[in-house]
Amino acid sequence: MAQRSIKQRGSTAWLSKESQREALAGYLFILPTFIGYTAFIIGPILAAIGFSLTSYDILSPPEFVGLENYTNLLTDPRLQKVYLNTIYFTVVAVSLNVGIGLLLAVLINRHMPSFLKYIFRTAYFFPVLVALSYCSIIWQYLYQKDTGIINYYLSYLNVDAIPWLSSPQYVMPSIILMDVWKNSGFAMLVFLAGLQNIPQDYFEAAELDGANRWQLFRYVTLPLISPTLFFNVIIYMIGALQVFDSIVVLTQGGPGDGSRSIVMYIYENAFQLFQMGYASAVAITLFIIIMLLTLVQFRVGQAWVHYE
Amino acid sequence: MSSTSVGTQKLSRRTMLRLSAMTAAGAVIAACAPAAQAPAAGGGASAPAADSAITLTIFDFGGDADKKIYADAHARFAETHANVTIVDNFTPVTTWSEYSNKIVTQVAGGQSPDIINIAIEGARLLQSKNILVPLDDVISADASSKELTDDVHEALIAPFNIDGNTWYIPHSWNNMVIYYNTKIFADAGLEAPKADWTWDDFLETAKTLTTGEGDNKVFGFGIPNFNFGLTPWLLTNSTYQLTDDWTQSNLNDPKVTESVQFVHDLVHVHGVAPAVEGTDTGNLFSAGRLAMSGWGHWPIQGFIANDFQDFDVVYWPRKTASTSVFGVGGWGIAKATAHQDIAWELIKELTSKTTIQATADVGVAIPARRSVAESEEFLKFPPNAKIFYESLNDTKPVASPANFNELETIFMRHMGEIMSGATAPDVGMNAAHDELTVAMEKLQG
Repeated sequence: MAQRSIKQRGSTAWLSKESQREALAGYLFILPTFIGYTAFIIGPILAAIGFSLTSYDILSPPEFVGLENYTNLLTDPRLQKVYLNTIYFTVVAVSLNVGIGLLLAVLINRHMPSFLKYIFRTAYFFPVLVALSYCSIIWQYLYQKDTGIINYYLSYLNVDAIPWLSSPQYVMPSIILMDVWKNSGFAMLVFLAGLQNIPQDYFEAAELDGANRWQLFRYVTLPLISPTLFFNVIIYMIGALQVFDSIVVLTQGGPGDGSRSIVMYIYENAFQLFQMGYASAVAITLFIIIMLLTLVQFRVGQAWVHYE
Repeated sequence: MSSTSVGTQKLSRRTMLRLSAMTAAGAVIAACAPAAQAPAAGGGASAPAADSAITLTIFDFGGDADKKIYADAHARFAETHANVTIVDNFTPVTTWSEYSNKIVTQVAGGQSPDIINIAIEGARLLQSKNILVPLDDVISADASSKELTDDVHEALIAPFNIDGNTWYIPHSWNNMVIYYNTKIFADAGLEAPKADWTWDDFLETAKTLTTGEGDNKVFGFGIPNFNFGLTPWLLTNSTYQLTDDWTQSNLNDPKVTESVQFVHDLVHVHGVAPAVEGTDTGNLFSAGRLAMSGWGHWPIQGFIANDFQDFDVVYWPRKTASTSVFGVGGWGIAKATAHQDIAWELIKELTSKTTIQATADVGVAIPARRSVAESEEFLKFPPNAKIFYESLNDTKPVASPANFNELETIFMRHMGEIMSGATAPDVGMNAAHDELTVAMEKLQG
């Protein structure tokens, strides 16, 4: 057995010439993606870290201010409100999106004529494809308190006009509703793929053992699609923490700060108030929070995700 | 198989990651070095040889109609200046803050245009960032410019005089007037509102015209829920968002709270206006669901295109004053230009009677030139169109300090809370005052 020093562990020095060529080819293949990643993701993140230590109004050179931006953001009342909005949105929207996506997938995955399956899949996935700005404008017309269609039909049921977008209490649920309508189709599609990977034998064996529908779902389906569930939760959580487009056309963050998300606040500080340094500090803290939450998810996932 | 010499270079995964992190850090540090943007020395004082090719870049806003008007003006300019190519960069305007941001960001990125088209809301911002050339010398050196300044109302020129210099040449402007549906008024047996009608007259009219339920519901008034559209309520109550010298917030003035309370009550107390969130007053008005609303000159062509002409305009109702609000757009020359003289020639063409007349025909804005605004074509619709230019006799510009972005976002955010009923008008305006005071202090300091 070749004695390999710690320095050489992981190096290709011990491979044959041909394997070295293969390794080089491998590196070359990933080089374009790697360059793109470095230039467009790593670079800007490092730049943001740098800017967060400065006061920078885009036109004049940045001025070093140390950790002042970070101490400011700890005492910023608007930032607290904005974080609360975003966390509320994340918890509710992710649960609903993933839950409804799973429910729809399970329902569609049953025995039915394939053209019916096709229609349902298309119908539920279609909102994902429509541009968000169109959706937001139409939903504005639906949601408008005095002239909107939803309140019009609710008046036939003798329900008072609901201030969907006009009241700080209803505005976040309204946005979540539109977001779930639009995005749960994607989760459904991913779950359908996961469900179709489950071998039928497991279901047959469980049915032979006398399992009812709920037991089948709880003890056969769920564990076997747990990787898909994990994937969906992570993706939706990362997206929900960065929500911007869903809100900006519908309410522009209003009323007041009632529906403003963190990314909207970052955008406002960077590009409307010319405080790029402060905005970068908020962005870096968001980056750290998302990273920590994702790590936690991976950790917790080891307990409940069953990989085959 | 055994350990080889250390000298052989093999790329391990660890080394790869180390190298790439260093590359990224290096690239960032290189890019972060403040771009020492020395503007073109001398500002193009010497006229270039007439046969050298010159390119002028304009940073511009507007719609398709404006693009065509400017293209025609450029074509006329090319007849006398064949060596000049004009590049017209158009940006649609959502809010003036965003438009000004784009210019500032582009200039910061080293791509300064030669000529800038901007409205008053961004005028001071650009001037304070040292992006522009003062125009007094070119104006006094050019005898033909007197014809222009004589043809423009002094109220439109004044906002572009900052710190004793002229920075922009006005081309068009807008104000806020009340639009009312003549058919709804006639059906209700009401006469047209008088020019000097009061807030009380307005409220009575709105209440009378708020009728119906569900499908047939018509509201008396649609609130123009934007900074420019809310300012008339302040001006007709003899108050303003800032002190007269534009250095301090005036939002804690009880008259400001009174105006905001009046607007708030239109929705929450009298029920004459629909909730402002998500409301498209333009569509509702042309669909006959609003008896009245407020705009400048800009929606008229859109209404005509949608076959809706049953409307006329009237002055804003007054409480203690008849002052109207206006905003004006103008052309400025960037400091970074190398062709200041040619840029000035182009600006003269862009503010010539021919170009301004074409602007008036499109009808989005009111022409700055009196001769055009008092022409038959401009006055032919709506019937009371004469009040547009007439309003300049008692008018005040929309409050546009260099930090207009902050002023607008602070004011509208608190208005949003007030209009949703979450905050009382006095509490909301006092909170806005506190925030705006900090912002104005930052501007002075």
